[in-house]
Amino acid sequence: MTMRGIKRIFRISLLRPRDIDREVDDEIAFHLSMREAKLRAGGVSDDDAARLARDRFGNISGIRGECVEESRQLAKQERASLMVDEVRRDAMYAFRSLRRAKGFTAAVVLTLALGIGANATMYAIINAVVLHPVSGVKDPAMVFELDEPLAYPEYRDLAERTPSLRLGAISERRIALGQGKGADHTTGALVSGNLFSIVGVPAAVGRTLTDRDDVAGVAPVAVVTHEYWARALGGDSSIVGRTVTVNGAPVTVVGVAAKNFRGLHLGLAPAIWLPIHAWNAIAPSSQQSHRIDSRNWSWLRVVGRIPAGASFDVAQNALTTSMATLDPGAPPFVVAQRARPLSVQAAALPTRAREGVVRFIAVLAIVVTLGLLTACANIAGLMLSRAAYREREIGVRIALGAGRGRLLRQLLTEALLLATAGGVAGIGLFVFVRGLFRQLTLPGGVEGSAIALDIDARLIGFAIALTLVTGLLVGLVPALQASRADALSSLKGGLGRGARQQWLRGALVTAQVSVALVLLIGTGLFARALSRALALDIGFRADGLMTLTVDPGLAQFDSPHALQYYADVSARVSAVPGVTGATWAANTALSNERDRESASLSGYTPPPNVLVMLERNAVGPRYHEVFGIPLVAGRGFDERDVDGSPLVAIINETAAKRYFAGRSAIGGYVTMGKHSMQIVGVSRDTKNHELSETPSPYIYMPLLQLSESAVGAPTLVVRVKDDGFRSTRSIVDAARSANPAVPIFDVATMSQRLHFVLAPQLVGAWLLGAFGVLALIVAAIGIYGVVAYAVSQRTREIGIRMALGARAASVLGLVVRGNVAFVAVGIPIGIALGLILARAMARFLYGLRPTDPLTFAVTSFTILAVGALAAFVPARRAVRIDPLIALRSDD
Amino acid sequence: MSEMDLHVLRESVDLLILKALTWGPRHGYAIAEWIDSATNGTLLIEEGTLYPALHRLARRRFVRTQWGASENNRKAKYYELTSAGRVRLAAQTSTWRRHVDAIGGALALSAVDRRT
Repeated sequence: MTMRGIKRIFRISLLRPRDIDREVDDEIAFHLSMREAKLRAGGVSDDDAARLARDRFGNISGIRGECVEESRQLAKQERASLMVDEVRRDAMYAFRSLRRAKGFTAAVVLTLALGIGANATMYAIINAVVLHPVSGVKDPAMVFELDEPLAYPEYRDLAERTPSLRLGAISERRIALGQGKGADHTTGALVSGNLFSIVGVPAAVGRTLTDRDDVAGVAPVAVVTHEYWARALGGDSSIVGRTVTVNGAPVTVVGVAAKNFRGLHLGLAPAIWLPIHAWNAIAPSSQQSHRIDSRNWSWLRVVGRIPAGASFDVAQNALTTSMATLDPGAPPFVVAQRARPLSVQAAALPTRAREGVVRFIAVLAIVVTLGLLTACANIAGLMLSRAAYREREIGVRIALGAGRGRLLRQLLTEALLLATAGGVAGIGLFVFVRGLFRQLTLPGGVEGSAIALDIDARLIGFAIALTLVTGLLVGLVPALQASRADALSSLKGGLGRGARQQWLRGALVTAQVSVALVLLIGTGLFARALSRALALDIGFRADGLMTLTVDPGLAQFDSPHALQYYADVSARVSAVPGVTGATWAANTALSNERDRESASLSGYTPPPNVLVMLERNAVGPRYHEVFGIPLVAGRGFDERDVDGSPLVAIINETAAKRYFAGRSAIGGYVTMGKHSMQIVGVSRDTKNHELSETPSPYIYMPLLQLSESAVGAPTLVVRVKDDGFRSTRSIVDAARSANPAVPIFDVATMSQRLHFVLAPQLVGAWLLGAFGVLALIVAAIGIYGVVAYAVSQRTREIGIRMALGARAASVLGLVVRGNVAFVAVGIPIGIALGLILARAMARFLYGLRPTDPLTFAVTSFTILAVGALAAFVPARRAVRIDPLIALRSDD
Repeated sequence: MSEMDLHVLRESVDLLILKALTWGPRHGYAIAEWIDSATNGTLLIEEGTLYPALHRLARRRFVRTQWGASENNRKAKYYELTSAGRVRLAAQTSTWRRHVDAIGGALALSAVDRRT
């Protein structure tokens, strides 16, 4: 025997303490007997020899104790290194056997990567949006925000009436930060002086804002974000006392906010914080008519902190009571509107976006969890088939004395190795998806890039946990199954365990079928919703339209200057080859911009306590023609409708039907504020914000007639001949050449805007579809495997039946019948789960019923058909069995 | 025996065991016999003290063990140098020589020499 062999045997025997004692005793006994023998050979008597040998040896029990102790230590070390050794050997063995099965390994790793990657991404999103919505805020659960924006005097009144709630206010606004052409067009937040103390954000450098900064007549000061300070101001601590330019006005920097504070609203992270009273100094020329002391300008979001020990309910009641008494002189409908319970909630997403984003995320979370479960079921199925295939190998190893525990460990090691590879690939996938997510716009207009998907310790922990769980999930069943194998029957071909294994694989097929069906139902619903959405009449021609937005107010243009600028830009853009028309609109279609105002219409008396609200848009000449909105009656705007000419307006069909029922709207009058406009046209209804909206009354006014409010951030609408938008670049250049100091942003084609609006459906359909098809394929493979196995097990029986004259159809039925049952059971389960998913999706379906029978029927039928096909292919082999060969087969 | 004597003794026994094994694997008794004859019976007063030293060396992986048949065909535990043991022996031998030379030299100095 080789030295290594001896060592191995010896080492294993060392593992038991009893053996250690015996070995030490044997060793000492051997020494004593050798010594005695030598003494006797030298003539010493037997008795003396024994005594002398002991004397010469010394304290036997002491020495024995020392030796045992040392040996035990050694054994402990050996055991540890043996374990490391075995784990390494198991890993190497698993690695080698996986390398031999390249296709299997690739399929499993890829599936796991998809599942783990999607879940890691989902977790990161939930982490960013739901678990950590407001980073940097102290005790964010106690911070709330009112649903309704308030005017500054209203906010002050409310704050005075509810001193215990510590109310503050914030308004995020688009600003030009810096000077001239080099200015950053970014977000700035105007905040009450107490905001930093309410949210508990300290300064990283200098100080934060205080109440003393937020009073009239004080020179404007500002706190910059850590990010802006590091990026644009050089991260220099001498920043305090320096001056920055906001919308052309000088502002003194007093500090830098703590690094992790990115503002209160997702997607509206400001670069700079200014006191509310700085507004008078920095207001863009377009908004200088908006004064802080106006009661009609509701621009502030009110936030507050609940005092320690108080509850949200108490805060909500106090606020509702105060709101109701705030303005007793207001018309009753205004009071009625304010008296409704204010929902007080943790401030995170902009209120309007919150529900949409959370629901969208909920749908995605369901999808990816199902996806991972499918992946696990699929892989467990694959592993099981592999275990069946390796039955003989495992039988041989058991026969050679491999322990059951050892075998189990080995198969688990294999599963964990696969899971680890899948986990690593999954994280890679996450990094890739993160890049895509940044370009996505979530429902409600929140940019994906505003949600920081960080790879932090929590995410890594989640990924590792996910990997371990999937590894166990995927490996345990096949491992237990395989380790139950007994050597003899495995070597003979595994007759005894066929039934149990067959049942297990059948159950897996059922699970796969139901999950595949759920995913396909989701895909089907999204796809149907998409086709419905695209077939919707949006009321204008979206193809060949391009939009870009300018903001001359940030360059402090006055009204005549701005009007001249608009004319200049549209002239320059119209001259670009391929452009057939260019005009302006205050608000873009399919965006979140909305501008509603109360109005009265000639000949229409509203019911008591009902205010007529019209959504309005100020548009340039030939707007309806350029945008492709058909006029039902009257004329569109043209060059006649300028400053000084009679005020005119165009209303949409809904407004005409509602307010001019039974009479012609043309020639009627609409009064809004101090303007009274004559209606010259009626146009078709259009979709203005979402594809699912129902038409509401809408009014168009000529931009050029509203000179006192001409400076805004209007959108240039350009129609081009071909939809290829090769001219995009030259259009933007032409617009910029009119005046490079005016910021240009949101350059997009109308079809891009359509895609943004449809993002949830598109992303949902793709994700669900990808997982659904994957699930379907693997379910098909599973069914194929089960039937093929059944055929191989019953070859002899089939042969006998055929020899006795059974018809092919009855043989086919024999093999397929039992297995199609597994599919059939999966379908009702899938439908039940699908209904749950569909309910969560309802908001995104554009009026499609979540129980859409067509989707459910088609997907169920697809699954059934695929299942039948997967069963039929191997079953056909049974029919072709030659009875002679079958009878001779060794089973 | 003082603590220092014990330490020196332990070190020297370890060193001699490693040396004894340079001729090949030996069992404990053979090692004791070799040390006895190599040191004229001066070092190993109690042969038993050899065994804790052997087990200690085994734990520290300087020697490895195996059971084999002895010259009179009895089951005996054999010790063999590992490569770590060989390195240890070489290092300890030179350290030992340096110490012996230094101590020897120091002890050889006479009172007269010291005064100059």
